[in-house]
Amino acid sequence: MMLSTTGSTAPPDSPLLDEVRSTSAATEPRRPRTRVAVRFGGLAALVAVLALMPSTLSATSLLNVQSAIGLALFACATNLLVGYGGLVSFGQAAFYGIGAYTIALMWLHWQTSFWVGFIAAPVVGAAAALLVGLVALRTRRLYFALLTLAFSQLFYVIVLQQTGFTGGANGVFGAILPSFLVDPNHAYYFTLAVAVLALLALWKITRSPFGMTLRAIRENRERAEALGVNVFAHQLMAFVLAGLFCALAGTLFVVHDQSANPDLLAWTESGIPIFMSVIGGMYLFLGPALGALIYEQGRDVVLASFSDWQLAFGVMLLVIVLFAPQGVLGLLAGGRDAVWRRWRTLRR
Amino acid sequence: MNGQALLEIRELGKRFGGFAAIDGVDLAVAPGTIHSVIGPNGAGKTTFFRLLTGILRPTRGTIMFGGRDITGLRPYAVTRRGLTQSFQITNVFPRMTALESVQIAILARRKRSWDFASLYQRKVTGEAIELLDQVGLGAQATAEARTLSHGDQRILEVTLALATQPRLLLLDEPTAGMSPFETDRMVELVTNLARARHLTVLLSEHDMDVVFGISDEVTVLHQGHVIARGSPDEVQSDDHVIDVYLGVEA
Amino acid sequence: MTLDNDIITFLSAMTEASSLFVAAAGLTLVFGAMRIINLAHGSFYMYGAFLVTAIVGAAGGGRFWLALALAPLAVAGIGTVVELTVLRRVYRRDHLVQLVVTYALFLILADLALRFWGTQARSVAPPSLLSGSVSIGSSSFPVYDLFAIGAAVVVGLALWVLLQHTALGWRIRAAVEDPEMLATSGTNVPLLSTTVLAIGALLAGLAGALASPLQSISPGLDASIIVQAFIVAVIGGLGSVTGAAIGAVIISLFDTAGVLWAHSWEPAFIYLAMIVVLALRPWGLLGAPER
Repeated sequence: MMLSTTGSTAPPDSPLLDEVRSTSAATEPRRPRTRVAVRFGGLAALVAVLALMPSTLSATSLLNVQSAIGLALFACATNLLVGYGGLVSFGQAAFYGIGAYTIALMWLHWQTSFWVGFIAAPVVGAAAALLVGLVALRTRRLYFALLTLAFSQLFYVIVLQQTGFTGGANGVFGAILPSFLVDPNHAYYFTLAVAVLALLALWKITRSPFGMTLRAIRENRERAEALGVNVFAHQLMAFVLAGLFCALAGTLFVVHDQSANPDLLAWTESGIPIFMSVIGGMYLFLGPALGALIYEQGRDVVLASFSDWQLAFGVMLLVIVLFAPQGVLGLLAGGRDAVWRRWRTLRR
Repeated sequence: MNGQALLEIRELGKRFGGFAAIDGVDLAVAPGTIHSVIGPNGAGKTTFFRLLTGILRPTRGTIMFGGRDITGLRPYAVTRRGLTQSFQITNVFPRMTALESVQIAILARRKRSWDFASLYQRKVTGEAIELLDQVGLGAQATAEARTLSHGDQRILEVTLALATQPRLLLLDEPTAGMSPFETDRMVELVTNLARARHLTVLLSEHDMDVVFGISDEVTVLHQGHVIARGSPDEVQSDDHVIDVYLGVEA
Repeated sequence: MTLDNDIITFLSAMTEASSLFVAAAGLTLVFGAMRIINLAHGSFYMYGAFLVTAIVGAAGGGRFWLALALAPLAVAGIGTVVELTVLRRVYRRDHLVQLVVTYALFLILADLALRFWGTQARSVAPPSLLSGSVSIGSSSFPVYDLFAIGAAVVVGLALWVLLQHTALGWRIRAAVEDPEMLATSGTNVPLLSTTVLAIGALLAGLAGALASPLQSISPGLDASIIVQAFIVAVIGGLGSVTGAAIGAVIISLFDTAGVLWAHSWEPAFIYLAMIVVLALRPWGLLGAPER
């Protein structure tokens, strides 16, 4: 019977063990090897398509795609906290802005090269996230969201007021970028490369034991703690990592805009990656990236034909949150799963 | 009792404002035994367990576990020392599969929850499946916890606690809300595992058949302190205990 | 002479406090009774202000009193529509969903405001009865500001009467303090929810209307006031109207002190205050710990 005290294990090549061992623990349902291969192939194709953009698109369109890529990183980094960690931080713009301003201010005051600033920015972002996290993570849920919002506004207001150091409302602009990155194609490839590598790292993190522990904390904080997980420490690490990658996204903003301005740090900016995650889908890794694309491209499309972008975005948010909480990618994934199931029944 | 007690509680007290929920409790649990804590509702059983696991801090008294003082330690640290609780209300990770849930417990135990490389998953998977098979949930390893039946969720709940390889397992009303069939299954599971793994079990229960059926020793709590302790037979025939139960349930 | 200046400074702070109080009272009441964080509350405020400019502008000059009466009612109407169509669906869902939904409303309302009233800043002159200044010692203080302070006091008293001495008020307090009791008391909870939100919107609109002669009214007002209202509500304790009053006074005094003594750091002070309160005592001065 099932309660054998000697401990029966499934035979080494049972279908159960095989299926489970071919994938690492994931948020998505189990899939056999062929589907995993198809999925990676699809992603590789996507990257290839993106790599070909400079030769096919106009200069403005290319800049838009570049911007979307940067925002995709911002959104996915935020989603590490929101979707995977269950921590709704309304203050990630603080680190986004800190990333941008690190490069800009180092250039402005100490004539530091862009590359040095580029390395420094994520470090500064992580450090800031450590400080904020130590304070903010002592609270939960609503108060955490409000606290992070307050931090975002605090940084915004400081940057705005300290005109002498930060340039105030005008921000910092000028020849921040090295000559290599002034070329639009170079800037694009650089952005793409940084984003792809960063997203790969983020993805690895979500698939790792750390990522799984983070999700367990999201699902049931007390239980995780009772099983021996130091919840505060894990959440703090997630917060620091998110801050690091958000700051990195901020550097990509500088590559795109060749400037930094205080609005990057305001609470309204903090909302943007959250909404991208919601629209694209919070529980799938690339959901926020899709959300970023929809946001950027949608904004252009809507603005071209009718000026009420905010209205359209607001309605879209409402519809998704109320009727399709799994987001667009979630809907697509559900549709694809349904198609796959039909395909498999047809093949038999 | 032979040898030194695994869990030794002295003069434990917890006040909430002016109200003493626990008022001077002494308890000793011998290793390898099954020890039950019973008492009418409001006797303080839940508070008592919360003090042991570190969710609450006592206002006085000490808790010694394995010879070391664990009074006031945070819950995750208490678990690390080998004292794990399984909860009264099924307390699982709803959207994670049974397999993932057990993996979390194993990873935490091995201090691998900080690992950012995913390769370690492979090793842990085997151990997790083995454990699930032992408790009879092997077939549901890839099912999300929230889709399991109530009885299976309770078993998973206990399995999670077991995965931390505790020396002492705290069970808070393990058979609450279960059918007779499920109750038997749970009882068999607990006693078999306890014997097989030389596990010490401290449980609180309302089901008297379970208590007197499997316990080596019983402690009776009433209004925050101990009114009787001893073997099941001794406690069953204790006048004070009978009074308290009859008086409360009349 | 410095005493007069101090009095003027204090009164200016109180004017600011009165505006903040009325704006925050609605927010805190809605959160306390319905546990919903309404980011669109600032939009209601802005609509109150814009509607006053519209009514006064259309009728020319002396219709301020009419505007002051109509604008909040109109905003209450908008709030009711919003509650019935959207907010009703998200009461039981988690805070992230509520934040997203109310932010979506904020965007929609902001966009519609741009359509109705354009991007130009507007201003409103106080009615002739309340224009001009009053002398205090050797300094002068605007009459309208005194009116604003008085109006806030009246609003506070009215709310106190409502909450303590009416059946509706009892129900609202029950919703804040003891939801289980409310559920078993036979109250029509959906109707109560709509009513509370309508009151919240009314207060927001009234705050905007009262403040319209005191500031320039332009898009972006919604975003700035919501943060300030939140700070006040949080410090006072979400759910407590009295707390909102105390919070408003504290914040405006802080703000004024900041302006006087450390000008360039002044806006940071109030955010620091909010952070400190949230970190150490998230339920604020008069809120309840389990919130």
